[in-house]
Amino acid sequence: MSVEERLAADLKRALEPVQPRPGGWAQLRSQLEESPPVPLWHRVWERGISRRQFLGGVAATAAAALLPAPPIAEAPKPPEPPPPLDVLRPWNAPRGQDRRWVVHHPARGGGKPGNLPVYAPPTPDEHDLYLPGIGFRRPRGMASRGPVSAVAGGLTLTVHRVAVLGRGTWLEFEVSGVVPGPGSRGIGFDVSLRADGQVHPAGHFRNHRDDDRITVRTVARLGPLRPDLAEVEVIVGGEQIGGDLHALVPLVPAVEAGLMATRLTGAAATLGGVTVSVPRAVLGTDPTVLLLEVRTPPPHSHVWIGSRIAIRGRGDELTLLDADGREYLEEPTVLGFSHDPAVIGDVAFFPRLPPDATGLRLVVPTVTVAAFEGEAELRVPLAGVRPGGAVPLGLDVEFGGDPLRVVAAELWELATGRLLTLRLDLGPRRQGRLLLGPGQVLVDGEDRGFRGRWSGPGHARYETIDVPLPPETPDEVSITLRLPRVEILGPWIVPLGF
Amino acid sequence: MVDDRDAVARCLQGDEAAFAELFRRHEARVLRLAYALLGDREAAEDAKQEAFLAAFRSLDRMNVEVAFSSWLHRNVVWAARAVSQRAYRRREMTGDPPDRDAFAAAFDDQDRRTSLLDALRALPAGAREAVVLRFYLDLPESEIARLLGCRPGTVKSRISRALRRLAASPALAELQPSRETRDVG
Repeated sequence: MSVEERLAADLKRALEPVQPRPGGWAQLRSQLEESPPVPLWHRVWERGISRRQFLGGVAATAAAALLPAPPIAEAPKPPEPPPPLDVLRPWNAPRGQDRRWVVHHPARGGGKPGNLPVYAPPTPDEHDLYLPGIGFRRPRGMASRGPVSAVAGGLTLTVHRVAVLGRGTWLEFEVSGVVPGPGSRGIGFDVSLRADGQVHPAGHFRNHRDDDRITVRTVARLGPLRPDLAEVEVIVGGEQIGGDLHALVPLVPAVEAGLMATRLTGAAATLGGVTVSVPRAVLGTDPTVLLLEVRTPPPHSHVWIGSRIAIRGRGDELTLLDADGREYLEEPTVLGFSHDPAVIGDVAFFPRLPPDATGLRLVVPTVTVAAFEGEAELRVPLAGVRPGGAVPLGLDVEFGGDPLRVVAAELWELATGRLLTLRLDLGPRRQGRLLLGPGQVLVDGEDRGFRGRWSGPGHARYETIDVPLPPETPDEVSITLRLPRVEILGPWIVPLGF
Repeated sequence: MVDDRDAVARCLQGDEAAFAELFRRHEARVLRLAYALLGDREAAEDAKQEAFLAAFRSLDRMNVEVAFSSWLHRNVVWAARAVSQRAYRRREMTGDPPDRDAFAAAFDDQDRRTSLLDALRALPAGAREAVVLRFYLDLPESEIARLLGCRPGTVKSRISRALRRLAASPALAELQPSRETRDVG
């Protein structure tokens, strides 16, 4: 591949994770309001229906009159044959016209699923308070009102939010600036929180680059602290950044720092045993914020709402509809969170709703789940296989109730060790379910991490998975696929009741 | 979905929803373009807002034969230059690394992405603009020349020189297996 082709592909891929923040339109709109670009700016908005929406409504009505209701499941499509075996190279997938993506699944250790929610019985006022940057929480406790900054030695610490809320303490912070003499693995630093004379470590963080600049913004969670603290001190320190930074953050009752959410009752829709609900909403603000919850029997390791890979990007946005047929498209969202093993939550941001918006319904087109139950085990013979060689398998297995074919295996010798590539045929959508791939892969019972790759229109649907092998490759390895990820087709139409 | 031309026509009739539609349709691409040009998230957000503001406020002066996206991209380039100059004047530090939120951390090639953007940032501004417009937006050299207000030959030579520098950069070396990391910086 030429430098030009690689540059084009890499540049697009490098920029893909750069996502707009919520509220961009609202900010621009307020700027435009100061001097409207056209005089009719508000009249059309007040009328509440655009030509696009009107035409869309007419088209939908006409289509509904002419066509039978669409089935829940798509018509099955014949499975596409896998690409030729010699096309792909592990860790170095070709780019260019054939757009290709890779997701890395780090080893979870012990073969156990990671990132499991910590159970705590929900309370009636769970999620009644919305704290920007933190999420929906109980309104009991203390929180900071606004950002607090501290500057020292070329670094700036900005504490965007501290919330001391009974069951836990959340700290949203940002560290930026220049540090002389960084190591080759980036700049590491420790963050801690001092309260009541005691120091509570929040964790070690690393700015992963090899020059002297640093920008880290993240949310750390600590254990519970005294719920009536009037102030806390956030400390950033470490050998690589020299002196410590201290930010004294005053706290006020959390209800004064956040926004009280509206409790919604009956805002739920169930399809195929999966219930999507909206128990809380923050209304009358920009953005409008909805708390989404999904219940699935049995519990799943994780659930992604409207997306196959953790975050809803362009084209995955959820939609709010009102009684007049107006559509409100979701603004880019943040990652979901969990608070109960039976319930997995997420937050969705929408533009400020007009005062006359009624009869609102949330449309969730898909839900992706990764089930705890359901494993597929296969044995891959490697005796006599040389690096670069392929083993035709054609193994049909059941994975979480869905059929899966392992077409072939390839062995690779890399600088970092041996790698096994499995080429998968996940088949078509069946009864609304679309198998996307495993969430965990074990080699001889050990989780060494793996990578899933896909290309073309099969977004986030693994065509191949790459598994590191132990240093001494045996004649046969046992591969266990776990946590089957399945996209379930909706739509769930959740009436919000207002 | 209606095309940009229709949305622009509706904007000119005062349809606010059309403005919002154009914004949402182009926002991510504009932000990424600005990010590629500036290498700084906050600066890119500023440039994005300024570009949209300028594009919308001068929509009635837009040549109807020109695609809205081209009009917008030109505004992005101008806005990025303005933001960059302001930052320089204020002696602000530019060149923060890309955001590494949990989503980005799920993907591999962290090192490679960072080093590629770093290598881009090390290019002269004119060369960086030409490279980004050529390889991120896939614009032909003639269009880039029109956008940047220079001759096509200049664009060609800028890209050629930039490619020589980038080809020598580790950013375009062979991919290596990424390390497991939970780094957030």
